[in-house]
Amino acid sequence: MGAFGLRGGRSGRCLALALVAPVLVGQSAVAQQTLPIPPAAAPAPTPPAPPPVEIPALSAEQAQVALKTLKAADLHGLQPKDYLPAGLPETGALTPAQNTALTAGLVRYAHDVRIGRMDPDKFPELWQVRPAAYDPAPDLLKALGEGRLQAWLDGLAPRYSGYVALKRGLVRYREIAAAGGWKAIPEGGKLELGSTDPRVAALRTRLSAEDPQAPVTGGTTFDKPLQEAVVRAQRRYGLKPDGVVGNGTLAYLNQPVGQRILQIIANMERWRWMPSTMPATRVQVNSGAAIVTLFRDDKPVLSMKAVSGKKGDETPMIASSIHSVVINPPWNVPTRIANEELWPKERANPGYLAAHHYRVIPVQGGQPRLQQASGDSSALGRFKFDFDNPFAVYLHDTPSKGGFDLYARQASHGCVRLEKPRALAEALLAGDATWTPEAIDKQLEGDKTVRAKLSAQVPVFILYWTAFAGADGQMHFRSDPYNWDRELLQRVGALAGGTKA
Amino acid sequence: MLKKVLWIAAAAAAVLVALAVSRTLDFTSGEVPKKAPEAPAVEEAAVPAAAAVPEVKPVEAAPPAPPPTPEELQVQEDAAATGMTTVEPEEPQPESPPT
Repeated sequence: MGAFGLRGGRSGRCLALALVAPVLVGQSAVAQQTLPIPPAAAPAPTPPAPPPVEIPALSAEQAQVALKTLKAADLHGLQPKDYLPAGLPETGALTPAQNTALTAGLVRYAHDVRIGRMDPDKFPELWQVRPAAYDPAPDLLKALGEGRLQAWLDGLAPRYSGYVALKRGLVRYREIAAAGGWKAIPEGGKLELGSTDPRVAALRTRLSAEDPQAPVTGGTTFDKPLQEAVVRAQRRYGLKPDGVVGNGTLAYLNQPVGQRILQIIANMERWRWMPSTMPATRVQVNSGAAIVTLFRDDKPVLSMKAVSGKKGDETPMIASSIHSVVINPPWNVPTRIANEELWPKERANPGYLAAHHYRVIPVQGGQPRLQQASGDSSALGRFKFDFDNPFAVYLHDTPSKGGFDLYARQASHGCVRLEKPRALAEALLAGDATWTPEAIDKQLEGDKTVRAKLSAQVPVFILYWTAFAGADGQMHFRSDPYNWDRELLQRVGALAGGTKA
Repeated sequence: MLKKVLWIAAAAAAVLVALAVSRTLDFTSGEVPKKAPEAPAVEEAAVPAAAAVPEVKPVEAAPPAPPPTPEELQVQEDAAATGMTTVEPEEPQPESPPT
């Protein structure tokens, strides 16, 4: 429920933000991820920059490898023209200047395919999952010296299944685009089982462009195979799978293929910000799809729906570690929420705060704080999962269970509400002699607040994915609820390049 | 008394000389190791030849893994939505000269 006022001068947790260092999750920071984020110390003296690495001229064979790799940069959603020097001959020897330009292009490519095109120092505040800075020149020099340029280049991109699946998806959606894409289905009334409508044929054609199981031919009557194809499409878009094509489903179907290609490219870019390895036990959150998964021994063992921050109160991308489970947590209301939402309600309806179990806590020389008592009506429900972060956000229970029945679940003030907090608490505390399920039950009989510290902190990654391959291998898309795909593509200059970005 | 002592000393010296001579001649070097006592023939014959080989039980095929439950499928689907962070095995690279 916590909030963070970072935009428009809102008062929130800006102070905390100023006091805590951002979390680097790049290769060099992996080992630190199970530790709490340390408070920023006084800036250490900057070490002198290492001397520039001098890379010898590429041999003819190495130049061919470099050219081939740079020409194929679009397989990674990058633009070959950003790396290939102009005017290179197709065959024949390169001039020294061309050789130098090609090497410089290779260094830029290696940087971008490994950690992305965003400058790590220029990430927006809410995008705390960032790669460590990377200078490819020393690695390139080593690879050239050891005669393994191709192998080095092949190993630069993320090796996660999620990235590899997006790479395949990019090829496939570009093929769809090259074949003419799909036409928008005209708006009109609902299409459902039994409907007879001239638009049914267009719907069939549209679905079959993405779904190999969808019927390609048929009449103008909405039949059972078509309904099944609609349900599959709705699942791929995270919509209610009712098999009825209303305005919502139609809006998703009518997104042009170029838009989907850009979404894939934006998500591939985010994969490059991930650490090169993940801890075997971890909690992963996708705030874009509002889903949480617990991995143990690198396998998903528990998952649940979530409610993430709404537009304007976006859940930040964070890498941290859960250090404790608070049972029966009170809610210390952030100042912004108190000022913008609760005090106006109290003024309009005196007694509102008391009726909802809020306590006014005087603050010497300042505005009083609000705290909601623990218990069934607490906005944090019965469980809170604490981890250090600059935004005072956390995972927690909620008394508003109805929010999990929705398909667009971006409704919180930035925290992540969990559908099955008890199951997550038991999984994280498993093996703890004190906090057995019976002990948790006993604690829940009352409203007393207790903090159960985890014997081993569990890393948590709050990420933002809007394009991913499902378990069936098909591409799934979400609506980009925070508009971060667009912002990312603009920041890396991928929008100007069109769909072949 | 002195005589007795001299007799004992002479006897001991004779034993020592005999030992030294026997070592020098190395009577045990060509000794054939004793055969292990043979098992009684009756018992050997009593065991039928076929029974000497342990009976090979037909290999039971491992039962097929049960199909994932709807809950397990949902967890897999959700895991994909939160980011498939499993690492892809490296594709075998064709042999190529060093670059």
